[in-house]
Amino acid sequence: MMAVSGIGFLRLNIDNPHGLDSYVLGFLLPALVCVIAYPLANLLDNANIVMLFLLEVFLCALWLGQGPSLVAAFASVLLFDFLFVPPQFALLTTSVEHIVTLVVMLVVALWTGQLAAVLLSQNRALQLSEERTGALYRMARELTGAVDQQQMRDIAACYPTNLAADSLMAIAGERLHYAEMAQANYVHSEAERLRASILSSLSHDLRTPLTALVGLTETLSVQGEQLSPHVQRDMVEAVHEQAVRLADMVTKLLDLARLSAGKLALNREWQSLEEVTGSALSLLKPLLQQHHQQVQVTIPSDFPLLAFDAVLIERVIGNLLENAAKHCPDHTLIRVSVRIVGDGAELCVADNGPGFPPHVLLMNTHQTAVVSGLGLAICAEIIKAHQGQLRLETGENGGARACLILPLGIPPLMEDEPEEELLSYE
Amino acid sequence: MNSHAILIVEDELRIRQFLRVAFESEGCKVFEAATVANGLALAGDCRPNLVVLDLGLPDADGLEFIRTLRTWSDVPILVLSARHLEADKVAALDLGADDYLAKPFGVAELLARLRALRRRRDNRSPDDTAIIQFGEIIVDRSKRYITRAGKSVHLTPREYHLLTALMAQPGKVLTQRQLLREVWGAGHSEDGHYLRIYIGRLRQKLEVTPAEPCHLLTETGIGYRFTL
Repeated sequence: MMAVSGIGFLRLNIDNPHGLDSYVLGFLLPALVCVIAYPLANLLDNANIVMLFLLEVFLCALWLGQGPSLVAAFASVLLFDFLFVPPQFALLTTSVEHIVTLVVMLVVALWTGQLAAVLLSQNRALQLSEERTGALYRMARELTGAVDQQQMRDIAACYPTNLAADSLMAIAGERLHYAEMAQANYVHSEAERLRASILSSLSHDLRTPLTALVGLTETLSVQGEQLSPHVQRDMVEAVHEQAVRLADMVTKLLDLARLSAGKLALNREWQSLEEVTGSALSLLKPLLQQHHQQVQVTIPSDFPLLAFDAVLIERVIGNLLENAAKHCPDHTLIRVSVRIVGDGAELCVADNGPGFPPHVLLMNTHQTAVVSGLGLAICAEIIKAHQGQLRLETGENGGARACLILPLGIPPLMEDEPEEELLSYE
Repeated sequence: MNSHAILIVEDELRIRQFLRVAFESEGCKVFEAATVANGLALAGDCRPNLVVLDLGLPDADGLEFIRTLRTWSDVPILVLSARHLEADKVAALDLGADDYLAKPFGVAELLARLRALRRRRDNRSPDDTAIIQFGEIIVDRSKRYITRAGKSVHLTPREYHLLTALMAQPGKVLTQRQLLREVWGAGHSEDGHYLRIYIGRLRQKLEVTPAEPCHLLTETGIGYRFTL
């Protein structure tokens, strides 16, 4: 910081910006005046020549600052005395007016030097404060865009710290805090709303088969003997059907509960999508045959292995196939295909049925939209645990298309077997 | 399944109840135990031909039952367990259980599994043949010669080793670790990707539709099973 306080004109302002050069210049300028004025000594009165020297000292003070102007003043007085004041080429002077000239020149040098220095430092202070205001303004503007504490700190690191910056940071921190609270509130209420809707749909889904079971078994045990064997068998079959449905739902619920609790340890191994798809298909065979649906799987046998939990991904693929089978009319074709997209492997299950209803498609943006069914919620959780992505969309033919993307990774190397032929004993 | 004795080790009364009815309808003699200790005692006294074991028992771990029973008997064991407990199933199979079934299961499925287990046991007779045929494939193990629809199929030594390891126990689930040890040695017992690759190649060479295999089956999370 520059000292702006000393306005007293005697205060020397040595730390001028021009350095040693300016002192040399303060010495050379009077010499230059001498060179110009000396040939004119016969034409001009000494008073005029003094004016020239005074002008030179004044300019020196203005441009070079106080120190050099003092040097210039002394040099001017000495040179003037030496060259122009009689007796010439001697520093002796007896005339009072020359002594006055000398003193005036010194005073002018000191005063103008001081004035110029004050002006300069004021100017500089002004510039500095302008810069600081500008920086604060820019900082404030950038802070409004910050969305978390880390960004705030990053922005603050780019600017000098001072009181104003600190208070800016405090304000931004407060704004961020309230924004986070609002966001958390929103997420919380959204989750609450979802939970309520899941609970109500679940309790309905669970109660229906339970009511059927209680009613059917009670009827059978109370009036079983009065019913015809045919009706009895129908009712027993219904009991079995409801129980299986219930078992399936409870299994899914338990799966989801374990997944949502985040307590699931993934058993990641290098697995083949082709193999897992095959085993998911074989599990679903009865359902697919019942609906006379065909599944066309196109997975190249040299598709890279991926690191995933085979049991869970089999469940995902099975769920997607099951959805397709259940929501498509009979005799439709379901297609399973894979491809590599960037650093991920994508597996798509597509059908040409009626497509996903709009509220299910919402799941792309709201990962927790369990309203779309337990199965898809489980899929989403499993894929999320694998750092993957589940995307639901409408295919070109209007059918449903569910794609899961898993990270590719680098499969481990295999000790190469010498690929010789097996020797048969024939 | 006549003249067969089946031991059920299961603590849930209702499950024992319907299992008994199902087995008796097949003409089997049924013994029931609700604890590991009781089950082991019965297994020693009654010499059952099959054991159906629930892994979650009140007095001790079902795995303990397998470990102890295997010290003196190689009777086939079918394990019942909850669906998500893959690690338990693998541990049971590694200890010497023969097959598993996830709860809830259907009676028809259970009986089919038990018949398969019994068949495998009965086939282990002196008329063991070197030649196995499945689908269009004929494997002559005495000549190490494989044909598909009459044409010779070329396998590498590793592929052949893996195939014969699976064929040695048709219908039985072999865990990943068991197969890796058998074919690649104990040092590779955790290298599951070897199996992925080699099973894939075998399916390419031997299955009609490799993506939907009929003979070299995957037991996801557990291992592989060869069926005729």
